[in-house]
Amino acid sequence: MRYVIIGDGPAGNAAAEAIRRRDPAGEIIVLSDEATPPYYRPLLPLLIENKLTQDALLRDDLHTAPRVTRFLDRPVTSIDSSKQRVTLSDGEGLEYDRMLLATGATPTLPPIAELQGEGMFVLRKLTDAQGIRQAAHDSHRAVVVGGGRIGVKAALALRSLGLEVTVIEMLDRLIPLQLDPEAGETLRGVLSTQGISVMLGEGVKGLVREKGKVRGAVTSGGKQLEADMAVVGVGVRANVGLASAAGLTVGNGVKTDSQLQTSAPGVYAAGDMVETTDIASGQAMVSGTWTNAVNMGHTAGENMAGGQVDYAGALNVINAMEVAGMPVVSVGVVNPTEDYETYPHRSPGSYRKLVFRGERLVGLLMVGDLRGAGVYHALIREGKDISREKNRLIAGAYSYAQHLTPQVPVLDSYGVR
Amino acid sequence: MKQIFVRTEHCMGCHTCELHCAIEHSQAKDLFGAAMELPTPKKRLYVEPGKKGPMPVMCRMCEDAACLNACISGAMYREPDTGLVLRNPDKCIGCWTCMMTCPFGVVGRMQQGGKLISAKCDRCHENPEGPRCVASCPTKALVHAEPEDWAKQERTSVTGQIAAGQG
Ligand SMILES: Cc1cc2nc3c(=O)[nH]c(=O)nc-3n(C[C@H](O)[C@H](O)[C@H](O)COP(=O)(O)OP(=O)(O)OC[C@H]3O[C@@H](n4cnc5c(N)ncnc54)[C@H](O)[C@@H]3O)c2cc1C
Ligand code: SF4
Ligand code: SF4
Repeated sequence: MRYVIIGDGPAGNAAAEAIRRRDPAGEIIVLSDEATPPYYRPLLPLLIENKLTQDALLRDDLHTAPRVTRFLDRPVTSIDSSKQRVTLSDGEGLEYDRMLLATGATPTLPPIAELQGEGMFVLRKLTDAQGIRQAAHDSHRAVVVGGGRIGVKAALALRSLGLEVTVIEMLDRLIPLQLDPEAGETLRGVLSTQGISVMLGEGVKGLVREKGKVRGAVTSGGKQLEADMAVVGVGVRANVGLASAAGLTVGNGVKTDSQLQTSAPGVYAAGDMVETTDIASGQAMVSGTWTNAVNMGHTAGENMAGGQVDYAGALNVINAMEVAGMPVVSVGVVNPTEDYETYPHRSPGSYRKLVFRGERLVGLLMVGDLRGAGVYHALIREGKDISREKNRLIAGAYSYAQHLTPQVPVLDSYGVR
Repeated sequence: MKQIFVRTEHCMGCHTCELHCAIEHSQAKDLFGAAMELPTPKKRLYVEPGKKGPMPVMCRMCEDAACLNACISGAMYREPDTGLVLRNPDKCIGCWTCMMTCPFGVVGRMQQGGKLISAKCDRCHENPEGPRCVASCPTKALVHAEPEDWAKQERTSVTGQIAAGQG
């Protein structure tokens, strides 16, 4: 049996691991369009800051499936699912029995004047981070277009290198998808104590270039900023080009069945390129997080190797981070509309918000104090009626201990190895 | 793999296991030394109010470990020989993804080497005497045993009150 995996990110690696567990003898080939062995994308800001070397970003043997053949720097240019064959950029063809699409996503570029060219960066790949680090070395001021997760991480990295940094965000708060207005405001305060300027509710009309080089930016409100470089983080788009060209069913991401098989038999998909359903809101979503990518990779891999498991489902928001001493967790619905009940809780240095729909916990936002985050997260995933525990949950006095039933003398197989 | 089981009817909620966990994870490894240390040594298990009384909650070294699956830096790993899920302090960047995903809520935060990193049970794997929480419990409410042995022992015991899979 030959398994071909396109994409060497967390989804591809998780799938390889799951396949290897079920099928010790099968041939696994991972194809990557990147020249480096697999690495941890979320560590890229630390490369920019010179806190980690390139080698420290790489996966080690404990985190890579054994006996996998890797083709690096070999983009796949087309798929023929009827012939069960992929073609690489150098024209070479490769047949497969089962195939996984795990091609991730690509940063989108907004329609901004003078955007493309020297001194403008996105942050997704190792080569992007290397470019940013290099440019930062020769720059004094940076403008960051977009105040989402990537924009904020890029801003902090550049600031730590001593640059003057301005973040410009179109919406009224930072990291708008994962934070609510109150947490966003707290974050803005944290960034300003770091010396980062933040402009909210403002777009970027264009970059200003002089002989091709970035010299500044103009905002939608007409403000002029000086800058020597720009980082753009306004979101990503699923890499579905291969799948569309091969005639697979595609929406905002590749569509799959409950076992993560695409419309082409034997072809599976996992990670940032899949369109799936948000457990918390029930709405269609395309994931942008590591956790979902790994879970999908495990499920897809298991099924490719003969398993019959349903994907447990993704959460559109499932994010943890530490921003300059401020720990944050957001899970599920954090910016609810009127059909939801919201319980905020504030104490010095921390903020917790629980969101319920009916008798189900559907959302969690925690800032400052993360105790119990994992238990709340598990309840959101389970989606059960928790009316009896609601008050305890709201009071923050809930722990896993309340789940345990002392009378039942079973060895709960959940954790026992 | 051995697990830690709880004989719930023996637990008085005295928190001795928590204290000894913190001591075991100190430099000094004794109470007085540990109490003086900065940063303060952190416990990795939690005695919480349960349905019928106090209940120690600790890492189960899950087979399908959410913390390990979720770690974005490669710091969480499964030790091949023992199957333990451990955290490499050098690689941990303190992003709290593991804390967010552990369904038992048993990952915490701690300071080490000038940075904040995750804190989780390591079953005292460097201590030949085994888990210190187990050794320290004055009422022997915690038992470190192979699941099969534990099942056999409990079938013949009269107490019968067992925490479901507390291990
Ligand atoms: C700076 C940064 C920080 C982040 N921090 C976090 C975080 O803290 N928490 C979190 O949950 N998520 C974080 N993320 C997001 C996370 O990295 C992604 O969600 C995750 O990498 C998605 O995994 P994936 O395997 O689906 O895709 P990817 O990791 O994007 O991997 C896909 C791979 O496929 C390759 N590929 C694409 N097309 C082809 C082709 N035709 N042929 C061959 N190869 C191809 C791509 O080049 C890429 O290497 C961060 C991302 C970045 C950039
Ligand atoms: S920390 Fe939590 S998820 Fe990780 S192995 Fe322990 S119990 Fe399982
Ligand atoms: S806090 Fe450390 S161990 Fe936990 S997920 Fe982040 S890097 Fe991994």
